[in-house]
Amino acid sequence: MDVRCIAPSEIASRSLEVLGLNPDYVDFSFVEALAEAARRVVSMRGPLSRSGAVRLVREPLRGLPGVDGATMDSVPDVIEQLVSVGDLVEHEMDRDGFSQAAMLLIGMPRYVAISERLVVLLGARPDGVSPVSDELATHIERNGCVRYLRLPGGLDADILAHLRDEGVKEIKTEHWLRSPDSETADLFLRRISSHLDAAIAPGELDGAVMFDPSQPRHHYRSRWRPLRDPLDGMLVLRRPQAFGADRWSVAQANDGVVQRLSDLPLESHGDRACDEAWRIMAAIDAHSGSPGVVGVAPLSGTRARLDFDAPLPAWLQRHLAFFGYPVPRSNGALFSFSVEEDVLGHVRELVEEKLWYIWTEGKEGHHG
Amino acid sequence: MALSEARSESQLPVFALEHGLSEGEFALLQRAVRWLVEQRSTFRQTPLPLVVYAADVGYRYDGGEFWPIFVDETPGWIDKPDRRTRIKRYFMAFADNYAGAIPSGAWARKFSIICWPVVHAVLPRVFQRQFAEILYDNRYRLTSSVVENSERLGRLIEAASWGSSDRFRNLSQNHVLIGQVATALLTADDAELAGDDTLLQSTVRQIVQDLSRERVAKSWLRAAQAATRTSFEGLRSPRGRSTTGGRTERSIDVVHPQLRLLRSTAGWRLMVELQDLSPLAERHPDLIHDLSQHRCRINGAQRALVPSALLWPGQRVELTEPLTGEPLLHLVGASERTNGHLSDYCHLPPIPWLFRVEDGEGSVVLGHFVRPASSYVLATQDELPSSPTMVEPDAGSMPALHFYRIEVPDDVSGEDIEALSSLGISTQTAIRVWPAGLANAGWNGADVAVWLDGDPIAVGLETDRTIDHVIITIDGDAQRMVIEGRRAFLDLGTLSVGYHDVDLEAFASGATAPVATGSVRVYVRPRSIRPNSGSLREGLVLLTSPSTPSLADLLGGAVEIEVLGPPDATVTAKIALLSRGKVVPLIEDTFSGILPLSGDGSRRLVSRVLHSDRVRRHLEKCDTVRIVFGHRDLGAVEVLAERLFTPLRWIVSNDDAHPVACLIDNMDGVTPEVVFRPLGHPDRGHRMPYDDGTPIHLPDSGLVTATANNFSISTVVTPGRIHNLADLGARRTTIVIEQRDRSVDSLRELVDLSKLWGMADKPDLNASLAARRVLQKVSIEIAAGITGQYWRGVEHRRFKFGQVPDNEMVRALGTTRSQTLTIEALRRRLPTPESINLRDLVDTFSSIIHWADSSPVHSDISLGEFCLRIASQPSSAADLDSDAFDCHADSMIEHPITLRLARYIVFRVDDVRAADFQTDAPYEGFAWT
Repeated sequence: MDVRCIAPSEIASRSLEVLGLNPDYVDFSFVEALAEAARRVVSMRGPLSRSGAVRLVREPLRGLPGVDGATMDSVPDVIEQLVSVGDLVEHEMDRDGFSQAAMLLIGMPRYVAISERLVVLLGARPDGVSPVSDELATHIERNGCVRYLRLPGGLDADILAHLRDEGVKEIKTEHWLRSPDSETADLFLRRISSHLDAAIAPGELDGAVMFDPSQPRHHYRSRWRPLRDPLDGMLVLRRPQAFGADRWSVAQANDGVVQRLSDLPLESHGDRACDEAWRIMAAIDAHSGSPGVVGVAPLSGTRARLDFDAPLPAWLQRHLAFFGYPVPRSNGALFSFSVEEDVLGHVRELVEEKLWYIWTEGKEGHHG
Repeated sequence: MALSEARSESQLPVFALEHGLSEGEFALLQRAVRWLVEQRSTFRQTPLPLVVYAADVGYRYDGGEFWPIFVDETPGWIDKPDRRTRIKRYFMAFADNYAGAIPSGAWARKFSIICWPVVHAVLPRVFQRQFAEILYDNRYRLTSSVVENSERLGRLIEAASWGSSDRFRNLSQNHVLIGQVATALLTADDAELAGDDTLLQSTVRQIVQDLSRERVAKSWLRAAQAATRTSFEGLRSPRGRSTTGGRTERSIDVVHPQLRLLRSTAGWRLMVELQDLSPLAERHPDLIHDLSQHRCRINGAQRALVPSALLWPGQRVELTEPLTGEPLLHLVGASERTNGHLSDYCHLPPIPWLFRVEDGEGSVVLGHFVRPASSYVLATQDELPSSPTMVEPDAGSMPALHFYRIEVPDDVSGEDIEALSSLGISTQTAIRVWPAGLANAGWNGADVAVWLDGDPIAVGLETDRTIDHVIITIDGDAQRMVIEGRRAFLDLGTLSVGYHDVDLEAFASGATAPVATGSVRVYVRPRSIRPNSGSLREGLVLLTSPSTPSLADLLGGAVEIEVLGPPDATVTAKIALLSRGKVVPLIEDTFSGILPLSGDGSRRLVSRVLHSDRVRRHLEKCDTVRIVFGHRDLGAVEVLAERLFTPLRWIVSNDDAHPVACLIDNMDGVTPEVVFRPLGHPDRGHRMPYDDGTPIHLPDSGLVTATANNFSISTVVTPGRIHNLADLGARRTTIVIEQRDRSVDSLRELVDLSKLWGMADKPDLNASLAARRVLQKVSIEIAAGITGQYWRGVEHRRFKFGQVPDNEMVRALGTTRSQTLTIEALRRRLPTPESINLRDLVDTFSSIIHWADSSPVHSDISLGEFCLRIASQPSSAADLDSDAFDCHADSMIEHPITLRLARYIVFRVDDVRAADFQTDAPYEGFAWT
């Protein structure tokens, strides 16, 4: 029997090593460490509700160095990003024969090729086993919630051949990066509205919260308020469920009463309900004359920082992960990414034509 | 001789591949052997070169037939049984003279000659990739004690090979030898580790070099070698190693299912989450076979699990029935020994159950304690006479259990503690223990924690007052630890796989009694190994039953394939027919389906593709069918169905419109007996002359069977082309089966006949159609012999015209009042054929004819199931226990309406489903497993 007292820093170091991270450079306050912890939790305990996954990630971190309230608060965002890029997948599952709930599972090992020597690596294997062999795992690079596999020069075979050998499946870039068609915000809202015309009157909406576009943009959470005295027009709602994540809905209110309601997603392009909801919210903002803003600020070398003040649909997060990587968010931004300047045009086209954002160069985003 | 002397003290035998010859020297040996063969040498005086030569052929063996390769490479070799036997004798002499390896295991018993060159090839190339993959997947279990014990290592490999190819499983049955080979490869890069008990270095180098031609296999082997080195850390003496410095001795102790509570709109529901039982096979090798072959009943659950379900971790099964005194798991039809093991290893904690609940889910608290500001549910068998204010009755779905919700307040008063104590629940406020650092694989929030083998095991400890030291006891072994303050972290060191009881007692300075105590049940388990079919933790998973289906299973429609994933998502399935040694498939076909794909849905889609004329004509040359289900975002999962390697195999062709059958004979020295049964009289056998390797010209369509050494192989042969049943009818082959008396013996004969035709290979669509016709005819003869004259007319009309109107069938079922009532009950409760579920159908039918079931014998199937099996696919009753068969057959013959009703059900289902399904079964919709 060789039990001994151990310092919290040693527990943290050994745990980080098991997660494939170097404790000399990171601790559990890093997104990279939390992302690995979340992948591991779901790989061992899935299917899991989001709240269950958050709890299981947080529990063992109690008392470890670098772990504070902000770290614990960031766990839900980390899980959201893992779902967005496809490391984790979220399905509506038959929970008990009566109700369905969104549950988290691990995505199977797969990759999206950037070049013959660089891929975005997705998924995990059960029980926290790396999606690739130990040999390839030494070449994993992490940036935020995204893992890249970069093969150094000198190795003879291309990385795609290595991955195919190991049974890691390819996701075609065009599938992974697919995004909604370009259209105007008005046209998009008219289409959503026509879906709502066929919707039915809602039942009880206990506990529902609504997106209030009249509230200032600078604090995303403050734009949600309980569903009381709703403004007339189109509403985006979140309704709590007995199990799992909130349900996203779109509704039509007239004379302060919700007349029709439909659960999202309405259009089956593979978007998640929240992705479609965030796009409707962006359209409502644009329609009401206060569109979202992307702040663009130069970074050193040929890179630029993009600051976003609203949640990003999965398809945009994937583009940003593909062409760049997340960086610590600037003051007031919800998300910040670093990208090469030569892809700015592509990102600009995406956010202007599909989310109707304003592109503001030379300064940080408009955050109040 | 030097090698055998060097190994005289060792358990490692000598392999013929350990010849130590250089490339040039070996080329000379090959030339010499070939020359001697051409000179008709018997090698009696100098058998060693032939033995080495044969072992080299074994090394390059591709997993198919051995002798064609040997004959091809050895001009002048006369491939007769006595020559093959001679090679075996020479290998046996080699084993005697040089302490050579001796094959063992079921495969070696069946292939008593070719097992010698294959075993003496150490690790034939065809198996090297799978071998490296298994070592890699199990690298965390390669402890010093396992690697040092060849038999244990071999058993580990054998147990881990259940999902591998049939051929690899055959090889791994020889677990001692395979363990020795594994040890040699794992220690190949470290002479000190390897010690003296290792293969000749030149042989190891050859294997590693060949294995390394494939980058991924090389990478797997390296990782497994690295894990082995780690486990030997501090154990550098090759002899007399102790386990104190490395990872400790491991064994699988128990794999108890986890009990979970789920909140639903109807109240609390009880779920059992089953563990992957495959690690038990290391200790009980037969278990994998039984788990793969038998359905599993779960005490308290309505539905049985399909075969193989217990080989997947994470299966959740709902308990909805009162628990009986029986074991939790029971494999239907498996041996008492197997079920005894399951009973020992898998059981639930005793009731009452206290669950800690969070986020709508609850886990059992073994120690029956609660903590402040937490929620619990108590499930008891007896209703509580009165309950404290914090305890409220709650709804639950499990009959005979009472559920109570317990909300423990932040400030627990002395009164609360007393009230809870009256329920047998203690209150823990003074100490808190939790797994620290890595997310835990099974923390219940109170007193059960699960770590993966090899992970650091650490806990945090917090007390409500300052303490001075703790005494920690693990499995009865105690240690004192000085603690400063109120919080500490403890490294529990290395714990072996299995359960461990960890008790903590916290002492204040100067105190003799503990100020707080706590206990944690620690379970260390091996990591799950992910098969190519995905796992239940993933977004796309494919479940098959049986777990490693054969090609024959697939063609016979006997494989359940379920694909689970996001509901309503579209998956693309690609079916490829593969031939050994060829990268490009013989043919591929693609279809799409909507998730989740049920067993029926996927079988329908797969059978359509496989039974299309376009695909079917390639089946003869096909060794493996690969089915890949892919989703553009989620990835892909796959299943392989292989043609099993058999001692005998038929290849059929046509010659001037007559079928010709050629026998591939791996039978090792025994001349097979060949019998032909013509299609017109499928129960009449005619012995055919057979000369080794000579094609047999057959007079017409029929079944040709070769038998030797208790092994039989049959194939259906047909001349010319037949496109459908109409074509077959146009050939005017009238099928006549000799009438038999109405007896159990006659029934058994016909069931055996059905099995003979049903199990036979059907190399093309013609053969499939012919066999189906025979199987239908056998079913009709069974029914005609038992059910009486009115129903007999229905049977013959349906066989002739395809369908019989429902009202006509109903009239023939029975006309007495009691019969009419039964028929009405059946028609009322019969599910629609499109949505039929066999288990539900069996339950419904059994309850309708329960009055006929007077079976006093213990049987794993009911009379209802027996009748349905006989009515739909008689061969599926062939392997029943003879007492159960006789008893049910007696009841069925005594109450012929039971079989009439069963046939009626079969016709109703087949009429609808034959349009959708195309399998080799006589009637569609009855895939018995």
